[in-house]
Amino acid sequence: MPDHYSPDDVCPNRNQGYCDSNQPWNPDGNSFLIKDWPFPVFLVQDDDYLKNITDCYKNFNTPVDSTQLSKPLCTLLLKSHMFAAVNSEVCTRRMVQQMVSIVKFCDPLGSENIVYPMISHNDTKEKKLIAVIARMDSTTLFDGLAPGAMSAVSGSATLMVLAEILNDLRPVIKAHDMFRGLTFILLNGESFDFIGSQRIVYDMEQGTFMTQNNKITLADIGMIIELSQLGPGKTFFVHRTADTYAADFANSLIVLSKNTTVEFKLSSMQPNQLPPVSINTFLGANSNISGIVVTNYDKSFTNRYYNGLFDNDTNLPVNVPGSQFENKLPPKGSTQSNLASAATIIARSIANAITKNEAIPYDIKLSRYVESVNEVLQCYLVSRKCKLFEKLYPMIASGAKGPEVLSLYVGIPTSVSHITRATWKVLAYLGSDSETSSSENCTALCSKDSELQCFWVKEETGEGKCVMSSARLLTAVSPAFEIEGYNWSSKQYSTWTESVWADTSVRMFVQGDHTKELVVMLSGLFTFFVSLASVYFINKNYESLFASMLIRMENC
Amino acid sequence: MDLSKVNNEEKLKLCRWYFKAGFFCLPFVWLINSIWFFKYAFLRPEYDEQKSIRKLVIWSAIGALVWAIAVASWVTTYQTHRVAWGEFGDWISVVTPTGSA
Repeated sequence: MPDHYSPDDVCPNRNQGYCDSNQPWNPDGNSFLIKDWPFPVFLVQDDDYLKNITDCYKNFNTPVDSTQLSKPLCTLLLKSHMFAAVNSEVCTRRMVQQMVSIVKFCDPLGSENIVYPMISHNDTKEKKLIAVIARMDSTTLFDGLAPGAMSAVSGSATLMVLAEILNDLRPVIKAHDMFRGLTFILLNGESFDFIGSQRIVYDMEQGTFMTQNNKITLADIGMIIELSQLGPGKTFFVHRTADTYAADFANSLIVLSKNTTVEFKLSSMQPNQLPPVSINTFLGANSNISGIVVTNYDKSFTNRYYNGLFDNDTNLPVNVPGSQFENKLPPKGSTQSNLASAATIIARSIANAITKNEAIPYDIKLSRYVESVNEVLQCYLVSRKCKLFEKLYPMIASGAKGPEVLSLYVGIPTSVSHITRATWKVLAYLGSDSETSSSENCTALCSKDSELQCFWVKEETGEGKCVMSSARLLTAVSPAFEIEGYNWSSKQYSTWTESVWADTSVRMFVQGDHTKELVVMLSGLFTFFVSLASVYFINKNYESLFASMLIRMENC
Repeated sequence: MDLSKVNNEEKLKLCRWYFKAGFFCLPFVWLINSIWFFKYAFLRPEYDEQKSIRKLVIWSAIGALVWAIAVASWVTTYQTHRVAWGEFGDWISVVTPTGSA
């Protein structure tokens, strides 16, 4: 494994937010993702295939010198024909204008965001919201391979457990005066110029965000807390906007982390010089929002594999010694423990911000949440055949086909993203209330409240539970593809598209040497001219050649 | 039809008919006309109708050539400028090739 490999830009999503090119956020970035590759690139992970290829190369092609000209060579034929050409604007336009045959050239990228309003801002005194956001998608150069362990999962997993903690604290919080509401948002397509957050901002501006009874606009949002690239270490950096509300909140995180196993520090960057994260989209639309970004890095990523194929469970270690045989809890200092500790501190700060009362005692049992973090991380980083997915989304847990670790690539909206649906269920399951019920009664429980969506879960104990959650899946497709006559050159919204392709293949064969090829070619030409000449000759002289035959035919 | 079995008068009639047909944007008819009657216009010993046939063959050949040049230059221009013409280029295209540009 190389010590660094990030195919993203040194300034990821550089069209938005702050990035100093002399001291960029992602110094390891080689920009492979945004280069125009004139040839196909394949990744071979199967050891047998790799051995075959290297053996073939060694046997036929080495030594690499002039002798190669006169001997057969081992050849790989890579086929990966992409239909789209030029750019998103052109390939989308061509799709609309095809007259005779209907050929699709490209699809807009997109999937679904997950929005979970836990405490409505309408129930609070200040009628403002605290939104906790994290991105859930990653990408790499290769199809079906986007582990995004630190890039995405560290933040989204922490958000899910944070929702669980705050849901557990909710009864206590609700018993006091509430000043601010609380919403959790998991964003999709953020790796491609913030597709998910741009869509949310657009929908908020159009007044169509969330349900009829619980509309959320940009003005309703007081503060956004973004969780981005956390762990595995115990140090967390807080980046913030320049207002006092954000400063106070950052300070409360730092104070609360004292005497705990983790450490929150203020980033040494200037306030408002925020990392390349989704919060920039919201701040771009409404600069009055206070912003907090919690990260594991200060001035540049500690993640050496940002959006790369090695950003897996080695980069964010989640192995629990002996976990396969007994239900052992990840030890102190493990990734799971650090993320859970950070989540409890953030949960306390948020609870204090909602109630504006720091004296309320909360009973938070850390070990419970370490277990939750562990369960979530196992699903996303180790194997899809994990407890949570088996319980909540058996379809992806049981299938024998496909990779163990599911890709977090955003994909295209016309094909359902099962990992997104599964994430919605995990968030709802961890972060909402549930009732013991039979599967038949579950739908009835939801019919009384249109804000709720219910699904039934069978626990390991055999007991059936009905999860009732206001968490929703909302379309995450860039507004550029919604707006009629969108000005493509305006650079206002993300316009990433994915090309259509028919088939991809790699073929290995031994190519004949040049002399042999020449002999085949020349003998072919020789045969051609000989047959041509003989046909001409026969045609010209058929009367004398076939004289006897012709006479006989005339006789009969 | 075997031209050698047709009398000269008939040949001229046929050649003229092909020549006229070519005016309906049928350059291949001109091309065929000029090849088909070439032998009878230039290589055969002189006969009454030959002069007229020769004229028709020459003009058919010229017509076919002009067409060939026109079509070739359009195809070249279209293929090399299709992408640069942008929206118009796509609009006039019936089949757009997949892949690069």
